[in-house]
Amino acid sequence: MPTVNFDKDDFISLLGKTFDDKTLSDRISMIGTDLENITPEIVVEVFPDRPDMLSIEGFTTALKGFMEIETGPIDFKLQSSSYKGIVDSKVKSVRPFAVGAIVKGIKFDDDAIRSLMQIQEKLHVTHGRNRKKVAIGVHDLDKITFPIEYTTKPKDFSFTPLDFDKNLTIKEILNIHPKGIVYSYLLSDFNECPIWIDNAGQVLSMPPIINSEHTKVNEKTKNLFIDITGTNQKSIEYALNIILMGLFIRGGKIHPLILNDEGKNLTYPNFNRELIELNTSYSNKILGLNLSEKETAELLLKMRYGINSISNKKIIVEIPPYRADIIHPIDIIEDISIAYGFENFNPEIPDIATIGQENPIEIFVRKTEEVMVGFNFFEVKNYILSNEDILINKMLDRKRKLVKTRNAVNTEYDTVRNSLLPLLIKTLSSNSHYEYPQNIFEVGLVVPDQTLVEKYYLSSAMCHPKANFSEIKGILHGFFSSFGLKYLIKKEEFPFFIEGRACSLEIDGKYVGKMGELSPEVLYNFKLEMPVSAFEIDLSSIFELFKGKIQG
Amino acid sequence: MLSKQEKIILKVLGELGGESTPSEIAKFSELPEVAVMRSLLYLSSKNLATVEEKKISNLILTKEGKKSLTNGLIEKIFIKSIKDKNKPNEVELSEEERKIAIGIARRNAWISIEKTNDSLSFSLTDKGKSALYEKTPEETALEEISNEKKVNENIANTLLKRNLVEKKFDTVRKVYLTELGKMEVSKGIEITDEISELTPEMLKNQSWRNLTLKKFDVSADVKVLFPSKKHFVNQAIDYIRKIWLEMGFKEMTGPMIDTSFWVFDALFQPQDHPARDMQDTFFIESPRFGQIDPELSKKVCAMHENGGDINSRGWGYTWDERIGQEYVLRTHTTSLSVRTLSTLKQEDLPAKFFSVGKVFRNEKLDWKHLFEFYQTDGIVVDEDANFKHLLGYLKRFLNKMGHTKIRFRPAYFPYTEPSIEVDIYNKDKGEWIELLGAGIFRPEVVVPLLGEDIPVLAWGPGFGRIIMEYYGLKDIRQKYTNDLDMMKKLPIWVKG
Repeated sequence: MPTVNFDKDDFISLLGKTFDDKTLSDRISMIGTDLENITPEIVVEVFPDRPDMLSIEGFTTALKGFMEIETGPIDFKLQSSSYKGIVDSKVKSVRPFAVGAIVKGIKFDDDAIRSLMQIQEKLHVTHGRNRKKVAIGVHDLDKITFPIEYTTKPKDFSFTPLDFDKNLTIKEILNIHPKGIVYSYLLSDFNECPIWIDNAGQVLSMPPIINSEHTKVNEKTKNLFIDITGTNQKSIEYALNIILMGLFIRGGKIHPLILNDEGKNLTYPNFNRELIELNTSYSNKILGLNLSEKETAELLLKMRYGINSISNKKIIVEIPPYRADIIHPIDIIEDISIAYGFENFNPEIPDIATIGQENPIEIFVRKTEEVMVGFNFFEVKNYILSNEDILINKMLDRKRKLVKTRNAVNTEYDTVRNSLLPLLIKTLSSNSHYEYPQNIFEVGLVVPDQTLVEKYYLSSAMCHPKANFSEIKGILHGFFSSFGLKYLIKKEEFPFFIEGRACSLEIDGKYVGKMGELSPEVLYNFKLEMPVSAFEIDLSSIFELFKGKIQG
Repeated sequence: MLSKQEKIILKVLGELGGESTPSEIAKFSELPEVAVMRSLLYLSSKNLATVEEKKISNLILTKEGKKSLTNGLIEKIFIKSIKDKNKPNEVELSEEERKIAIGIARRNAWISIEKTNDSLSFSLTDKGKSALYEKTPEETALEEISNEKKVNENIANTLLKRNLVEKKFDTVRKVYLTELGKMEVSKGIEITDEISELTPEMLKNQSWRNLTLKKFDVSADVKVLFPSKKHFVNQAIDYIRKIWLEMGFKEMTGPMIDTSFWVFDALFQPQDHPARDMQDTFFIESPRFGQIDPELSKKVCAMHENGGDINSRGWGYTWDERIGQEYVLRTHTTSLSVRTLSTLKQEDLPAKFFSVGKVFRNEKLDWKHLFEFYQTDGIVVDEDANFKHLLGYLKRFLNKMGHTKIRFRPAYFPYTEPSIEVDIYNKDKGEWIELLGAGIFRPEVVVPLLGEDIPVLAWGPGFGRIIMEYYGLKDIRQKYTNDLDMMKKLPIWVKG
């Protein structure tokens, strides 16, 4: 989640009212953001569904409503305009969508600059998916000759990119410009690259990589042109509205851009408030409340919605043009719950008759643990993820094909365990400085092979100077007879058990496990200088044999 | 009350004039010295005797030293061999010893060395000849040390350096009667038979009737034993399962390795959502893709792209089935909740389910982060379920886990609306700590799975932090270190 830092003085002045830190931090938490710090700066994590709250102006707009300093929607006023542009159809296969707008009369003080830079960057990273979905350019309007065009240019086309003093070809920008290096992958599939160019042939920007030096904004800039391009029309319109909201609140005058796109003249920004019908019995049902239409409407105004009309159990809600997250009436209902205040809901446990029931294999697993503890074995617990060196190499069990992950950060833990036995030996090895005997067991999920069937295994090991086959066989016998199970010992060799001191176990003709004395070679591999005898059984298979008996 | 041994010792100590050593007491009392020492400790705890301890160091012969005492020092063996045969090569000294012996003999001016034809020949000087029949100071000192006599420091250092002697640290104890002890002795001490162990024989032949059983010091330290037990995390899990069972929840299960479809897509997480990034999710190398039910796939696809046939706009992008087929290690057990929803029929409702299972996050391992941990998911599927019930269940769960001061806060998850975050209050730090996320599943999640829009309350808390707090662990990795000693000493989970 993106973290944003807000200057406290600027925050308070935009809020228009002073509060003590406690009230402020409580309200900021309860509006639906994670507050990290209140002094000296306000630091909050904004949830990804509310890109409009990434700017200080957007955040305070929401908070003003929530704290009832100012409710209802903002009335964005648009100036008349004759700024025009055209979208060349060539962009449709590269970066198809573009919008823009003009803002005049900005007083570019530190706060305003800081805010614009922050919102631009945060929108790029989150809402814009690292500029892929949305990229924003801010330009000095007075350097631009209208009409402008959004088109594409071949890679030998050149202009002076931001922070350079000479022309570079697009190819050079992609290869050597710091921004080009970072973002060139976004254009690597295309022969021509997107370019905003003005009527005098001056380049404005090459989205989503870099602006031109020509239209660079400085502290004397009064009037702005904002271009936004991307791969999703809705997303770029929201980004434009979010940026314009901030500038509008700072006193900017917004002039639309008329963009001819595929033969149609479209005017941006689109500040119309979309209408969604809210059924108040639906919202009351979900929230467990009994609010009247009027009460509901008041809560909506706190969340800066507009109310178009109210009738019996029906409110036509006007969605602010910067709210990208409202895709279903349920989203409005959440805002009602926030406005109502989570602290004002009484937690209730309803009177529904349902019967609790455990998964039967979990019951069986628990019983096996009880039996093993009864034998005075200690239960250990290893990670599900391990690695091939432990599971295969050290066990001399090289024929196996395990389930590996393909992108693990920790290479020591990149493979799903196929057995618990190696992990028990590893555990014993890490405890060799403690007193013996060490008798341990583990019950847990393993994935034996690439069929991805997940099974519960029980593995147990005895480790002390006289650990041997007969002793572990005694335990195994006692274990099976605790469950009334008859088993068969079958001679079998395993690479990790001493030859002639190992066997497989069968119940009803079905293989259910193995037992033996660990080979000295394996113990050497694990750096364990103490004999170990062990068994491992497949609880899932055994469970199948008598699950009928388990559920009471 | 004094034991028989204590009485004997007290008596002996009195006879020895109130001042002695443990070995002397052992000699006169005919008790083993260890037994004397043990009884003396009891006597001193009863303020009848005092034991004064002094650490002193004594020299004793090493193995080498003992050899030299019998065979003579190596330099003596060496000059003797010159005198006997003048064939130094046959002397029974190792090459190393011989070199040292030559060095010492030369330094003592016992020998002269001549070099002929690349080999050395040795002859004894007059001093050497007389040395044959005299004891060197080292030899004298060795003898004295073997007789437990003191030697001067210079010679002691020489012997230490030559590794012929070593220092042994001893504790010398002096025992005195206290004033109280003296009074006790002057009153006269009567000694009767006392035994410490009751044996089957004594019971059989009833000899116990004529014996007094020794009184033990019940506050004395003993070797402590700890029970075997279930792993402490499993003990906590058992309790969590019990909480849900008591509230009438049924357990749901499902795979750890699952298709992205169940982990993300069925939960209405857009395919370009940052949570689906490679950094956070483990992808499986082989097999890479699994199957998705085609019917369900179509419905979920419609939800993502345009909101299907419900009143939703969807995410507005082109959904790719192939991405949904990729196998991952589940990042949450909420995958089980949606899998369960897809199996429910109208007659199964209302229904409540829980699960406890491992989830995986592709993160670096450190004291605060594990790449796999437990989560306990729950869902309540009920036409009449509402937001207050959601708070009710969560409050109950946290109260049972020992947290009474809790706070519900708005949050965001792509698959719930409203979404809540629950904080618990940490008294020590004086601040709210984020603990778990929950919400009501969005219609976009529920409708494709259940066929209609029924409220589904859902939560998926991790409980690692609660376990750590309960057991007082500081490093989250301790849960899987399997330190047997640490785990043995850890108290059990007593809540139940």
